[in-house]
Parts: sequence; C-alpha cells; structure tokens
Amino acid sequence: MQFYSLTFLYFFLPGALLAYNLTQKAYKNWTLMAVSVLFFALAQPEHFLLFAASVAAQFVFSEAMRKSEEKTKTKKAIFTVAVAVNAAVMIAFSVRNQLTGAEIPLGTMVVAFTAIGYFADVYKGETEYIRSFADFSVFLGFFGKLYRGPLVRAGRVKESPNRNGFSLETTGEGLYLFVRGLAKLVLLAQPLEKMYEDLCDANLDRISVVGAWLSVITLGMMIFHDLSGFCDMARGLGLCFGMDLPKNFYFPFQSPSVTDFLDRFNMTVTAFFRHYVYDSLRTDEKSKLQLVVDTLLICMLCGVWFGIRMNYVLWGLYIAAFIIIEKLFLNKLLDRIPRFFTRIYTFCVTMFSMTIFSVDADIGIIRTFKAMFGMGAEGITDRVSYIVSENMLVLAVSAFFLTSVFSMLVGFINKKSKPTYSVFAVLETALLLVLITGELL
Amino acid sequence: MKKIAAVLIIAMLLSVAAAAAAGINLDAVFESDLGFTGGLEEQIAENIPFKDELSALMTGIRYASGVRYFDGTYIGNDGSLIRDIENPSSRTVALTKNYVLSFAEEHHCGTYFMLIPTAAVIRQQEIASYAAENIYNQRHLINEMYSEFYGTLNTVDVYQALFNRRGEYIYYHTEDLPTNLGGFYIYQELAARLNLRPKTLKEFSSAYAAHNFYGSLAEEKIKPYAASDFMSLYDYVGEQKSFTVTHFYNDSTEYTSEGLYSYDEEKFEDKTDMVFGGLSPVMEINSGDEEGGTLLVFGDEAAKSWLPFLAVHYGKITFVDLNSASEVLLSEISVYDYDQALFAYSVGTFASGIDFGKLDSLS
Repeated sequence: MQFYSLTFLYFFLPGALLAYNLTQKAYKNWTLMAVSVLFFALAQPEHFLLFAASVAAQFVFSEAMRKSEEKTKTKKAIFTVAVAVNAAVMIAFSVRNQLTGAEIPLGTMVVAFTAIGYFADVYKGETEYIRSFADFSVFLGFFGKLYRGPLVRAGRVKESPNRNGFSLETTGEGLYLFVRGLAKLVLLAQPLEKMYEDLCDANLDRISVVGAWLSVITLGMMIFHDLSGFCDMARGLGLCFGMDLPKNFYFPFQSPSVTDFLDRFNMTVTAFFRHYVYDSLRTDEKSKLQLVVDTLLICMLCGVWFGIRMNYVLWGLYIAAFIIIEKLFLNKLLDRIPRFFTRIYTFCVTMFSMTIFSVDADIGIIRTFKAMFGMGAEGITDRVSYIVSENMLVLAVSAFFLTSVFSMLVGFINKKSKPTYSVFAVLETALLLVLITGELL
Repeated sequence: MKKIAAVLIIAMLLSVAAAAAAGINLDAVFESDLGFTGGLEEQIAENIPFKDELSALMTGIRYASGVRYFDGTYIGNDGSLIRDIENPSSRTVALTKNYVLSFAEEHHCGTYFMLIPTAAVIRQQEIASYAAENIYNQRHLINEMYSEFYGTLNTVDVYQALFNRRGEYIYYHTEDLPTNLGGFYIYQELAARLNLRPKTLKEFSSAYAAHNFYGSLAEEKIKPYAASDFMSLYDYVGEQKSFTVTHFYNDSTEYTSEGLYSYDEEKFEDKTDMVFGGLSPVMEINSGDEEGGTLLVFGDEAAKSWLPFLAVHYGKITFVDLNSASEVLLSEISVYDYDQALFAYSVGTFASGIDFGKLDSLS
C-alpha cells in the first residue's frame, strides 16, 4: 500500500482520521505513532523492522544525550556516534542503490536527516529534548512525510487546530491539499515518468533535437510534480493529524534568478543545509572565496539529498556555479532586466541542469547537450513525434502547473469570496478524486 | 461555508469507501497472489462505484489527448482495432517445421501450407508510422517458414493479394479475423494453388447478415472509438449444392446442420459464428457431390472466412482444430481418406502456438 493507492485513499486515511480524532489529546501522538507503524508495515513490510529499529535507536541516542547533559565529553561522543551512524546508514543505502539498484527503504533519508538535525539542535541547546517516545516517533517517522519530506526541525513544527480536537475546517483543508498533491503525483508525475522513459529509449536509439529538449523538460517537470506532490500530500496529512508542516516548493521554475531558484526548490532541504552546515561554517569574514566555498558546499549537499551519486554532485556544482556568477557579477544586471526575461534565463539554466541531474550513462551529457543544439542529431524522429502525440495533454497541463497562475486564481477567489472558494474547493476535489480513482483502477 | 465544504469532501471519501467495502470478498483478499495489500487493492478496485464509467472516462481523456494504444490494441484512423501478434519463438518455428514435414513425408497426399497475415501488417497504414514500424514483421516470418518447406510441400502465399486489397473491408474492425470478403481473396489464391479453378466474386451472391456489431477486440472502454462491423455471407449461385455441416465434439457428441450458414443473428454472441454455426474441434462439410474431392484442413478461426468458398469445390472437407480436438477424436480421422491436406493458420494463431504434437494421433 502506498499513498497513491485506493486502499490508502478510501480506507487507511479515513480509518486513521477516525482513530486519531477519537483519541484524547494526551494520547493523540500514541495513536499517530501506531498509525505510522501500521502504514509502514503495509507499505514496506520487508523494511519494517529496520524502520522500527532505526526510530528506536534514535530515541536511545536522544535519551543517552539527555542523561549525559552534564558530562560534556560523553555527550559529544554520543552526538558524534549518532550523527555518524545516521550518515553511515544514508551512505550505505545510497551506495547499495548505486551498485545493485536495490531500492532505498522508505523514509531512510528523511528519518536520518531529521535525526541529525535534531541531535545538532539538542547538542547546541537550540531545542528541548523530546522525552516521550510517541512524540519522538511522530517527529521522526510521521507517515505523511516519509516519502520526500519536508524536513522539519524539532520545536519548530507548528500545531494545526486538529491537535486540540477535531476541527472540521482544518480536516477539510488538509484533505483538499492531500488530494491536490495526489493528483500532481498520479495525474502528472507518473505519466511524465513514463514519457521520460520512452524519450530516453528513443534518444538512445536515434537522438534528435526535439527528443533531447523534451527529455530534459519532461524530467524537470516530473521531478517538480513528484516532489511537490508528495510534499502537498504530507502537508495535507499534517493538517489532518495536528501538524502544520512547512512548504517545500514555491514555483521554482519561474524564479527570476538561479539564487532564487534554490530558495524555492526543496526549500526545507536548502534551509536544513543552510542552518546546519553554512551557519556552522560561517565566519565574520565575508570574502569572495568564502562565498564560493559556502555556495559550492550547500549546493552539492542539496544535490546529495537526492542520493549519493556523481550526477547529483555535479548538478549541485552546476547550480552553485550560476549562483556564484550571479552573486559576483550578474545580480545588478538581472535587477535591471525585465522580470520576464530573467525568468526565461532561470528557466533555461535550471532546465539544462536536469540534463546533468538525469544523465543516462548510455546517452551521455555531452551527446545530449550537442543534440539540443542540433549537433549530430536530426530534427525529430517518428518515435518522438509519436511520444509527443500521445502525451500532449499531460505536457500542457504539467507546464501550466509549473506556473503560479492557478494558485493565483485560487488565491484571488479565496480573497474575494469565501463561499465561492469553498464551492470551488469542493468541485476541484470531487473532480480530482474522480480522475485519480479512474487512474488508479 | 468552509465547514460545509469540509463535510462534502469527507462525505465523498466515506461514501466511496462504504460502497467499495460492501462488495469486498475477504477470502479473495487473503488468497490473492499479490499478497494482502495487493489483494485488498484489487478488491477495492473491483468494487469501486461506477468503475466502468470511470475507466471509460479515463480512456476518453487519453483518447482525446491523442493516445491510440490501449492495453495492447491500437485504435486505427478508421476506427479499426489492431492488435499486434506475439513474437513466435524459434522453438515454435522449429517444431512446426518438423511436424509438418514429418506429416507430409508420412502421408503421401498433397500437403499444402498457408499462413494468413493479420490486419496488424496488412492495415498498418491506419496507425501512426512509428507504431507501424514496430509491428512484428509477419512477411519475414512467412518467408522464413515457406523457405523451410520449399520443394517438400506446397505453400500458399496470400500476403500480396491481401495487401493489394488493403483499402477494402477485408478485416473486421473489431475482430482479429479476415472478413468473408477477405476470405474470398484468400480463397482465390488458395484455390489456384490447389489446382482448382477459382470462382469469381460474381459467382456468389452476397447478403448482409449482421450489422453494427462489435467483436472481441472492442473492450467496453474503447468501444466508443471503434468502428462497428457488419458481415456479408456469400452463397454460390452456380450449380446448387446441399451442404451439411457436422460438428464433432470431444465428448463424442455431434451435431449436424443444413447449409453453410446459420442466419439467426441473435443466436450468436460472436457474429462470425454465423458461418458453420461456429467451429468445433472437428467439423465435416459435405457438399453432396459424390464425385468431389476430399480435403483435410488443419486450421483456426480464420477458416470461417475462406472455407465456405472452398467448400464449393469439394465433396467432403474435414476441418480440424488441433488446439481443441482431443487425441481420441483425432484418432477417428484417417488421413488416407483424403486427397489433399492443408495447414492454414492465421499468423497470430501460429505465433501463439499450435499443438502439432497431436498430429501423431491421426490414423
């Protein structure tokens, strides 16, 4: 069972909501922990013990650190071990994934990163220890954020009204957000993934200009809709289960600069590295060298978030290179150019980055780049025409939802008339539920 | 108002859940090969309210957005449904060669071999050029088989004849079979190879026998985008013959009917069964012509299109479906009673495998 299944949508979710809302406030996190455990057991039974052991081990580290609060050296040693174990787990699963293709167990990266952040916070005294096992388990392993985050910091997750009792409005808002996220995943990201695979096959066979461009654009849109879809679902579920989780994306592909792109793309991850790495390394000296080093480091880590692969590191370095150029030379120029053109510049740079992000060893970055500019490639092949003809609608809709037009429209309706917004939300949810259900059948 | 909206959203989820839950078969969930969660998902999908309508809606959206390939079937420009064949294994090809050659060597009647291409290759102009390029090359397979038999038995090539007539209604839109008109063109090539004088189309009268029907390729969700079919039946207008068709079944029962066709359209879900009343494991067609020759045919459903024309030339034709006939039933057939033997299969049937091993059961 996954989020994107009829079982989850129509049975697990209503059941979990019922259980959560029937529980007294003091025990809500115990219920939520049980729900998360059940979800994991149904989603990935083969990794269930690993997940349970991981969360339990993190709690043991947390308790050990708390009990060693007065013993600085012991506390530091436990902190070091805890961070090292989490880093080792991430590296081990990423390398295994690289070498054997074995999937990384659900939640591994999210739990490990969240735990490292938590240990750093409590070590520096920036947050309180979480002493209840249920609260700790929910903070680390809430089922809503196991797939792609968002990354949260202890003590900084706001409560939603549902924490104190059943709030009809919040639950409705949460379900609305969840269904929208699910729609992004099922109706856009998954068909785009299939299209991308078809395009890769086509390019491997006979690369063409249109094929090369389309594969890059398709991948960019697929990654965005996949990540933001999961994040919307997490936020929606968070609202339903008493947590107001942070946004993770804010229309990154219409950013006016690459620097801005990084602030809008996977925002909680960028913020995580900024806080735990950049801020830790920052010195008072604001030299150009420091800027270059810091930017390279943050961007590389943002790439590594997706997995420990050379592609992702290179992607981070590519993004970093543009940010450095912007900060050192381009910012003044970008400020003077009309927004429309700076957005096109950013769109092109970030879409190009997808070539590196996705590079298929069989096709190669250089070959793809060359083909994009017509070198050694024909205009379009029959196969690419065929793929395009079969995916026109999903391409158009995906491109539309890269922009903030729809979001602005919804915001406008909400501002002008609450009743109209409610009717709109109900109709949109009903339509999306129909389409999602039809797709999942 | 927000509260009402929330109630409606929750009500939507719960009403679908309640409707689906009512039909869930828990035994099927626990016994599913997909495990508990897979079985549950399958059961929920099975019991979702308006399942067929939802499925049709999604197909409609995909069709409107340009998709023309659904679950292995292409929807052609003219609404015909075209399904590619399975790629035959080299083992299938080798076994066929061995069995058919052994048969020809053992029985000294004239042996003929015919592979009938399917609409997937003859009518590929109806689908996108890229998709057409990836259709299995049946021409190549036919040539390969025929070269194996060269000099040993007689092969009948109907590919070009059908290809030349590809603009005509020679294949059903929604059934992976030649129409009776297509069958006529097959018959003309076949008759010439069998040393018969092929009749012309003018020597047959035709009558519409079934209108606006959909065949087995037209699944419910793609039916709205498929062109319907009709069927014409052809009667020889020359020397009148009193045909009887006797069906022999594996349980030793048999059934005899008068004439080659059964005109009661309502009686048949598969309208192509109006020819001979459908096929049976073994079927004998007698024309009442004592002087006429005898022919033993090993074939498949495609025979419903061309066999009625050929029947005019013979006193007795015995049709054998090797895939469905039992060995006991086959043992009652003596190959020596026949002047000629014909293996005639659609490439699709050939590729998916024919139980040629049963040839050993013939007496």
